[in-house]
Amino acid sequence: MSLMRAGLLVLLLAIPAALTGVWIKSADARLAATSAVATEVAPVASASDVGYCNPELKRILRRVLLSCGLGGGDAARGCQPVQAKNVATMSGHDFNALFTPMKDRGGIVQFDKD
Amino acid sequence: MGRPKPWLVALLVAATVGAVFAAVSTYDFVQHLDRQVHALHCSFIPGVSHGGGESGCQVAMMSPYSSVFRTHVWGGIPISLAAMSVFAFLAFYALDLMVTRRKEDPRATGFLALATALPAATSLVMLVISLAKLGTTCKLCVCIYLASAVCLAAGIAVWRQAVRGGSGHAAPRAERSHGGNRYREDPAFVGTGKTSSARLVAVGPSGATSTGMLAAMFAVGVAFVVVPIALYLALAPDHARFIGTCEALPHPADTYNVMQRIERGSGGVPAIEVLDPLCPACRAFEQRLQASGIAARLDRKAVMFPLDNTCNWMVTEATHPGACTVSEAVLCAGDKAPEVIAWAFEEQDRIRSETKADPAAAARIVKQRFPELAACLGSPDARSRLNKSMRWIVANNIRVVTPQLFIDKVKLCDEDVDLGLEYTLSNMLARHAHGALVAVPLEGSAADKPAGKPAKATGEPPAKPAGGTP
Repeated sequence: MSLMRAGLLVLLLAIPAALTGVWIKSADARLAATSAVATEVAPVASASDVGYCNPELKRILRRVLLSCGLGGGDAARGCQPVQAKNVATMSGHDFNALFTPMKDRGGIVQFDKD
Repeated sequence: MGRPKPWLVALLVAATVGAVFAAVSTYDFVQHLDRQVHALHCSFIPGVSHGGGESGCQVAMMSPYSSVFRTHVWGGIPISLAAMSVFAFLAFYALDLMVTRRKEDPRATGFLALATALPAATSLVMLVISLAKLGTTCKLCVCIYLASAVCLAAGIAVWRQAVRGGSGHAAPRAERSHGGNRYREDPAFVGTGKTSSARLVAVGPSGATSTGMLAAMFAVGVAFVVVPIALYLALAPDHARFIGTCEALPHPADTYNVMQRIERGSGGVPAIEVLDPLCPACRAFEQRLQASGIAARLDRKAVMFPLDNTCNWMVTEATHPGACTVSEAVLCAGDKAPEVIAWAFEEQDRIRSETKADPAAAARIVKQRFPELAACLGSPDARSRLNKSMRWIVANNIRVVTPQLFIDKVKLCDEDVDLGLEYTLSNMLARHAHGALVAVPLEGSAADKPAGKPAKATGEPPAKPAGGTP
């Protein structure tokens, strides 16, 4: 009788303990495995989502904006595209690089002759 | 052994059922120690997973009430582990009473009834918490509550029967003193005249339950709880090594003046939270943070990051319709920003659903509640500030997911925003107090890789982190 009771005690005590141990070891093994390999993560925030807005375009745009007085300080005189070409001493390549991507996204602004 | 008493059998069955459901619940909890997202078994049938989405089991498990000592152990020690152990002990004790003749002893059965009161009282407390604090119940928990109730009822019935002398008959008992211990002898009936006076005292002592025996059984009960918990503490993975390994802010300064205070009168360690006011995960995070008591130790400022493509070019769809408008409202609110954020968390379900049907609904709802913000809402200034808010996000290489919390420039890992919140934040604050909170790479792992190359923003949640659901 005593042996049976002792057996019961050991068995029923061992079940929760063993289950706990097995589950934790399993989680630990998965943790080690996932730490060792790259996991899929959320994308990083980016400044643009269009292909043409590349560093080269930004460089040209920055030069034009600064030349036209639109990019910093308190000057804000602005300039028309042709003026921009002169003021910013843009090459034909720069001019095209700046405005060609706009053709599908912008409209024509016609200025009055004054 | 004799014929088992029906109530004792009922108690054994209930304890077994309770142990099984508590084991399933413990399994669900423990598997999250790998910092991944897992489906939960949330069903009245043990082991069956729920269909997906947020269940009562998920709410219960992620709540601060599912475990104890959360600031000392990542995730804490699950209460279901102790429940499983207590039910295992009740099953053991019920079997022990069956194989001995103590099932008719009032002291032994009284101890059993007392033992069943522990899970019953705990279940009652947890049920009240579920209904009052969480507003939901989990199926596994309900099964445990029912098992506890049956155990208590059966335990009391067994005890009452023993007090009455067994099976409702007042049987005489002979009391003896032996070795300083008083014990009783169970009566043994002969023939068929149980109700008559033709009875004999049992053949030999029936294993009288002394105080020492009860004390030993109490110690066994304690061992049933302590051994699995000690094992849990000894084997639980070390999560402290992940602190500081999840990126940092390269340019935390608020040069665009886009940060808004989340709470009034908050003080403590400077923290920046990237949030979307209509993001359910942000609301749940806020609730967990408040419940943990750690929010009061932080000086939190929010940077709006609405996952809504009407203003956010980094997402391809309006994950949270109306988030841009509400974010503008937060930015327009100035000192009232905490009030607007709290209101947005409360009303976010309605705002999202109504804005999905009518894009102008968000502005209408905000103006109804905060008429003083009407002039600012949608103005070029508000839109510019929101745009600058997202430029701050870009400048800091922040991932397109909300919420994100940075303690003094160091990010709380996405995997630590739910179960591991108290442990990780406590550790981060302790390290900050000692000047040791720094961003470090996770050695020997994929986390060594750079913070992340720019990728096409989708607004989808990260696949793995446990808590990040935008």
